[in-house]
Amino acid sequence: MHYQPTLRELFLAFLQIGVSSFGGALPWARRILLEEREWLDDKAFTEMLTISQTLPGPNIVNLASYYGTRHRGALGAGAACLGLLVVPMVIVLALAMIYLKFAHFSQVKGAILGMTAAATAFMYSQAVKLSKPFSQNAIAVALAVATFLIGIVLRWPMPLVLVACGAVSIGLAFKGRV
Amino acid sequence: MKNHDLLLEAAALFFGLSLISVGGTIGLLPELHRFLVEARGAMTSREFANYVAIAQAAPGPNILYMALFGFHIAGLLGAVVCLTAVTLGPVLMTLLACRAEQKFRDHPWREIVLRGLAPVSIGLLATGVWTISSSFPDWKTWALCLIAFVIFLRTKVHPLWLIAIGAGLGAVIL
Repeated sequence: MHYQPTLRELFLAFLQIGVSSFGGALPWARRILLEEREWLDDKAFTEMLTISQTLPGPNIVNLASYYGTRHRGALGAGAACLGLLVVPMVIVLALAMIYLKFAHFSQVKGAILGMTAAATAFMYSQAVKLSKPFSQNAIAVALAVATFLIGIVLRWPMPLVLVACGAVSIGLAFKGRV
Repeated sequence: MKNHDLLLEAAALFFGLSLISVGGTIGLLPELHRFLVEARGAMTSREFANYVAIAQAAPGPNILYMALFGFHIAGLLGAVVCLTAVTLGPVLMTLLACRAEQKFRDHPWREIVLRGLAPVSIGLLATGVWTISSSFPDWKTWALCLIAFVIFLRTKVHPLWLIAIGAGLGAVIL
């Protein structure tokens, strides 16, 4: 059975995710919940990620609500979401005020760009690590790559990509190919 | 008071949009731009782009640009109202979905659907990351990203170290 965090632990874990997540929060959730705390395994994380992405709304908020509900009910969802959002909101408001004052310095723009480049690299590496459990299955890898390419080359809207690729993928899973 | 009317209108729109934003909220940006910049003139196009960039560069979920839009309209109250508007609906829906999913815990289709969707959801995650990297202005930024990517795959270095180094390098060479 997976670890059952308390409300306080939920709040603190998602607070850590919130304040560390440069770029996007989902890969940080994987790092902090799975690699650092070892509260769940790759399969459970991928299931949770899938459900969060299938539901409407900000994916990381869905993930926090799902994980919180799963372990501590509605209160757990509240603790996880508050941890995720409150402190980062204060930080982002403060940064916005500072940034608007100093944006005309080219070093500031360069520094932000450099940060973004490293954060983006981290997120790509987490996507690669997430695909490790099925990396031996060529069809599953092809599906992940096809989804990515349809999103970036054909630029279909996300819901359409999800429905189209999801239908093919679930069909293949039903046949035992994925 | 005028700003509070606009705040209410924005909150209602954000709430509605949040319920149809399957796959992530990045796809909502054009709609938000249409409302805040074109229809209501609440901010300039440049301010809008700056807020999105700040939320992306700052730690925290990218959805925090909603708080920045709200702050622009009505200060701290606006930030809280707009962020709540965009998260409340999805949180409630997730709560219900989680309960429903527990009931189907041992149903064979649950396993099939989730196993099937797993590669798709990883592809979608990468697509979301692409929307950020597609704004890289030059090859130097891409080179920095590629080097960091290889380091992340090969080592267990804490990402914040590399991000800090990226900031330092960026200030000098980018």
